[in-house]
Parts: sequence; C-alpha cells; structure tokens
Amino acid sequence: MQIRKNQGRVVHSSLSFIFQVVEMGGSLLQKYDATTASFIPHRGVTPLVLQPQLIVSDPDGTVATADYVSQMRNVSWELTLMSGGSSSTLPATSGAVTNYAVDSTTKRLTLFRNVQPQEVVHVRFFGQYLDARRNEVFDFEWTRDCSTEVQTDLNITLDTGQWRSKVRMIPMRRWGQFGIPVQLKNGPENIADADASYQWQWWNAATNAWSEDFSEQAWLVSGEQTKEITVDQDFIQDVRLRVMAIAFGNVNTAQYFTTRLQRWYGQFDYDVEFLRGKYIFHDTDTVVLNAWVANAKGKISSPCMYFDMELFFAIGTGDFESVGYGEEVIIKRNGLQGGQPKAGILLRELSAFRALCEDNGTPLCLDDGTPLFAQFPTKSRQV
Amino acid sequence: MNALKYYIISHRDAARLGLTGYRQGTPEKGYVVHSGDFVGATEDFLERAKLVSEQEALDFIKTLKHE
Repeated sequence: MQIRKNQGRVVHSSLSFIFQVVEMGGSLLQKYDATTASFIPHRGVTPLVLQPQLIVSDPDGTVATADYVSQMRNVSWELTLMSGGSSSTLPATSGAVTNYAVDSTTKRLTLFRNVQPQEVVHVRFFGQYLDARRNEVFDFEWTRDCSTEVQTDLNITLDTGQWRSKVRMIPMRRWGQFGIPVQLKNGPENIADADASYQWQWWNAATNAWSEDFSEQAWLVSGEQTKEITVDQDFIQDVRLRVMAIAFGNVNTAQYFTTRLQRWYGQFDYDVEFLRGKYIFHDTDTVVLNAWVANAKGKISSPCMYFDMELFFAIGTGDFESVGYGEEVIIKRNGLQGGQPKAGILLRELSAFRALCEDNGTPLCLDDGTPLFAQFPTKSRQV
Repeated sequence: MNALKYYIISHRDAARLGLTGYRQGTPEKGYVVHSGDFVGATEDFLERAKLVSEQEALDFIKTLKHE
C-alpha cells in the first residue's frame, strides 16, 4: 500500500525596497568661474561620489533589514556625454586621464571629470536584486544629469592703501627711492600675482596721452610692470602716474589708479643777516653775510640742497651787487665806511634733477655714457 | 564669489570629519579636502590643515597614483 502524499508551500511575503543614490563630496551641479577659468570644485581634486544604497526589509523578518547593494547583480553605470547636439558614451578613461571609476564591491561611482559649461553628462545606474526565495528579480534604475553653471559675479577692486590721487613731496623730507604699492582684490581677498597683471603708465604732456615707454624717465627705478612701482624723489618735479591692473587676463576687469607726484615746498620764510659788519667802524674791512630758510619745523639745514641762494650787498645808496651763492658770503674790501651796509637775498626753489641737454635736445653724457643731471631754479632771476 | 580653497589634512582629522570614504588620499600622506568640508567643524581643524593651491593639490594626487 502506497503513502499518499500532499505538498504544502512556504509562503514568503514580498520584500520591501528603498533604493537611493547618495551624493557624497560634491554635487551634480558644478560651478565654473569664467573669469578665473576654474571649476568649483575641481573634480580632479575633490571628486563627486555617487553611492547607491538598497535597503531591503522583510515584513516577516526572515531577511534582515540592511543595505544589500553589494549583492546587486548586473550593475552598470553608464555616462553619456552630450555636447553640441551630439551624444557619446563617456569612457572610464581617456588616455592617461581617469574620467570616472566604479568600485566593484560597493558599486560606488567616483566622477573625476569636470563637466564643461556647454556639456551635460547623463548618468544612469542600473542594477538588479534577486529574491532567491521567491525567485523574483527586481530592477532598479536611477538617472541624473551633471551640468555646470557659469559664474562671473566678481567684485574686483584695486586697493591703493593710503596712496592718494595727489601727493606733494616736500624736498626737505627725504623720501629717497620709494614704492607705490597697489593690490588687486576680489571681494576681500587678494588676487594672486599669477592671476593679475599690472602696467604702470605716465602722462606724456607732449603727446597728451598715457605712455608705457619709461626709457627716458630718470625718476623710474623699477617695477613698471608689477604691483609696486619704485620711483626716485630726486628726479620728480611733476609726474602723473597711472596703473592699469587686470585680473585673470580679462580686460573687462581692468582697474585704474592715478596719482600725481609733485615737488612742493610749501610755506617757508627766509632772510639774510650780518654775522659781521652790521656796524662799520673805521677799521672794518670785512662783512660776513649769513642767510637762512625756515619752515614750520624750524630752520632748514643745508638749505643750498633745496634752494638757489644768491646774496647781495650794497653800501649807502649804491646798487645791490651779487656777492655770491650759498648760506654764507664773506666780503672783504676797502671803503666800507662809505655808507650804511645793506644785505639782500634772492631765494629760488630748485627743481628736481633734470638731464642736461644740448640745444638740439641731445643729452650730455660722460665718456661712459652716463647722462648728466642738474638742478635749476624754478623761477627766472629778477633783480 | 569666494574661491574654493584646498587643504591637505591628516588621516586622523579626515576620519574625524568623515571624509576618508570619498576624499582622495592615504593614511600616510593625508587627504585633499576643500573648504566646504570644514562646514560645521571647529576652527582647530582648519588651523591644522595645510592650505594648498589647486595645482599643488593636483600634484599631491599624482603622487598618490604613483605609489
């Protein structure tokens, strides 16, 4: 007698799935600074990571709730590059350059490629999960577009520190060789020298235009193409300088700063006095004249460095006669008793050093070619 | 628009910030991160980080690939 059989079945409830792709380390939307020609961020440095997650949960509790992405099958990441109306598959590598990489265990996609502003990279994930108990296959698909947004909202300024548009340089206050620093900024941050260019110019009154030819400008020391030009006070009479600063090679960012440097004496007083000979006796044969110049800070030492000082002397009703140049003059002569002695001074400001030239404009030079410079009174002699 | 800054930080700091999973680097040489990765972190992380230019960061990554 045979056993009669009947077959029962194990009933598994259908699984629940939560599938998602987590963006890590960046975003699908990249930014591009058109002015600096840089990606923000540069994915070659800090790549975008897309991590799929498949959370499986079983209402019956026979399958532990967890991330089963590593058990997915037929997983593929497809990246399609769309540009200029055409599309092509983006390979994982282009020569020695890695565009993206996929981890075989975690199924993670790491995107190293920057997406150009005119491009879109379409990213597609596909994977399957097999529920072996019910012999069911579940498909999971995820798509997104990677694109880039162009930004040009710069705030370029030129920081000139304490420099003003007009600077008066008192010769008695020694500036010597000094720099005029400027700095391009983007917002509060300095723009690196590698990303900025500076060109100094001077106003050529003869041509009525700004000039970048400094070959005959003795006041230039150095730095006409840097952010700090260095000039020499001794050679500056009246110079207008301008700097044109350009950020990131983009002429639209050009910033200008103009400053006028002037030799300026300000307020001063001067006089000539008798050191000897104010009172003429019968045997007096020497008169010593001494001149001084003073400003608000007191008497100026070595005034001949800054002034042309011509001293005059007269007796009685006689005319003034020039007796010499400098701070002190000694007059030794007979016949001083002929009348009241009088002293005079003609004081003229000296110019900055200027090249000595022949009538035809050719500069005078030493044998070694060094040009000769001299200072001249800035006003004509009126006696 | 403030430029993004790149830094190299130690493995310890990268681990504490939870960056080792997706930033490029090694436990020995450290990891390249950017200023956005410090959001929410205390200032001492930034003080220990070494600021590098974009090119220096790329050069650093090249040294990782040659190992």
